[in-house]
Amino acid sequence: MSDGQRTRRRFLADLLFLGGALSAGAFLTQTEAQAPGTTPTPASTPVTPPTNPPVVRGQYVASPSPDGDVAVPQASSTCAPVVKGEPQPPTPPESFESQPKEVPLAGSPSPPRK
Amino acid sequence: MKVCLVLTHQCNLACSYCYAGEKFNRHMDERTAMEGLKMLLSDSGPMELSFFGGEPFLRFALMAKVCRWARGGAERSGRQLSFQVTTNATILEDKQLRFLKEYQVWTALSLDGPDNVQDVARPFVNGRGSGKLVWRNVEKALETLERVHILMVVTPTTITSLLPAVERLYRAGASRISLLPDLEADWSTVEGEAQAIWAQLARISLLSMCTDQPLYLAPFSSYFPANEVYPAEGQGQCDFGGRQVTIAPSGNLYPCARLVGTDRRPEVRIGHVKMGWEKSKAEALKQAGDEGLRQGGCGKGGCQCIPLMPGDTKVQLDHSARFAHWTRDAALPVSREIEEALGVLAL
Repeated sequence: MSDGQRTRRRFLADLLFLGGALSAGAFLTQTEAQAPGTTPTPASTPVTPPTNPPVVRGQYVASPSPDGDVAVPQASSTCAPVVKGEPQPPTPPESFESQPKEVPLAGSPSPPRK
Repeated sequence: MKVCLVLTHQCNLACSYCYAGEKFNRHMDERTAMEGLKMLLSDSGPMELSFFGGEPFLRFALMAKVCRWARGGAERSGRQLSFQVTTNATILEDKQLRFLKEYQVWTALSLDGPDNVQDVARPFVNGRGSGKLVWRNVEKALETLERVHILMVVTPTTITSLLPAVERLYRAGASRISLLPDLEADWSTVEGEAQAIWAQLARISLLSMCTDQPLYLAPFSSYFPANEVYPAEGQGQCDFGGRQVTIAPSGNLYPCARLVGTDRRPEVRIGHVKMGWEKSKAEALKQAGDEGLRQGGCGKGGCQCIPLMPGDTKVQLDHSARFAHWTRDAALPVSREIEEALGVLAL
């Protein structure tokens, strides 16, 4: 399920399992209004930064980090990959057919301990 | 044609209502599975191969081998092939999920309710609860696989927790759930409550089918008024008495997986994998099943195997008829309401 489908399903589940008898008319109207084509996208980040809340006297105020105290590692563009050893053969397709002769039954009683 | 292989009589769960009867250590061998596959491949038309048990994933290696053979056969003959498995979802690790995905297997997962209900209704053979493990596996399967069908046996004790369980499954991505009432239970004490829950579930299912995220909840979904507009997806229909055989681990043939049980009822057998399949007996059983359903007044939703099951079939038919009536009474008004609302919207 994509994120959009997940959001849509959550919306529908909230309506369907609300309790009480939701009429077909009311349900269709509400779901039409939020049809997949018009599924609202997650709220975007506001362009303007939120205003700082007022500082209450005596409250600890975190000071902003000074610029330049974080060192970003630089990727080296001259570093070539080092290949060691012989080329590996491609991985064979997974076999689902290997199984121990007796599969232990999950939840079955453990053998008695000596 | 449809061939169902009962890979083992063994199971790691001990559900009180299980119709498969006593569990014992008898598995299908490779040769019998191969014979069954030959039956499927020698027929013409689309093929459906399914696996049942006991718990079929206890014989995962054989299941995987048979699927590989079957796929090879279908490719050589250019025929359509689909796979199906019914499992209790206790042995569903990443490897099994990768297999189910690779072969696009329709996977029916059995689950009866929230953790605590599942613990009591479907415990492990040592009495330990299976709820936590099964829910984890079911949610993982719903996340990973596209072809998942949930089977929920409904009993007088589990029905009250059905709504939260269905809601959790829907939120996790389930779109196909079948509710299977325990037809041998005593429903008299919870009749009113059960009917009210049935009505709520009918409404939820039918309304959801008007949306892009439908919940096909059997037995209600067949009442949806506009199936040509909203086609119901799902597995193929039962073809009891037709081109459908179930093969027990011994090689005995039955018309339906539910009739295999402990494989000790020759009256409902229709042959052996080495000798072939008696079509006339399969047809006679179908007629007997139809007649039993007619006498029991089951109507829509009744299974032809019910009158042929062991135990008190009169009680089972009575309950089947009662649930068919509850379903109709719950679903028809919602169906009409939807028809009206859709008509208004179309104007």
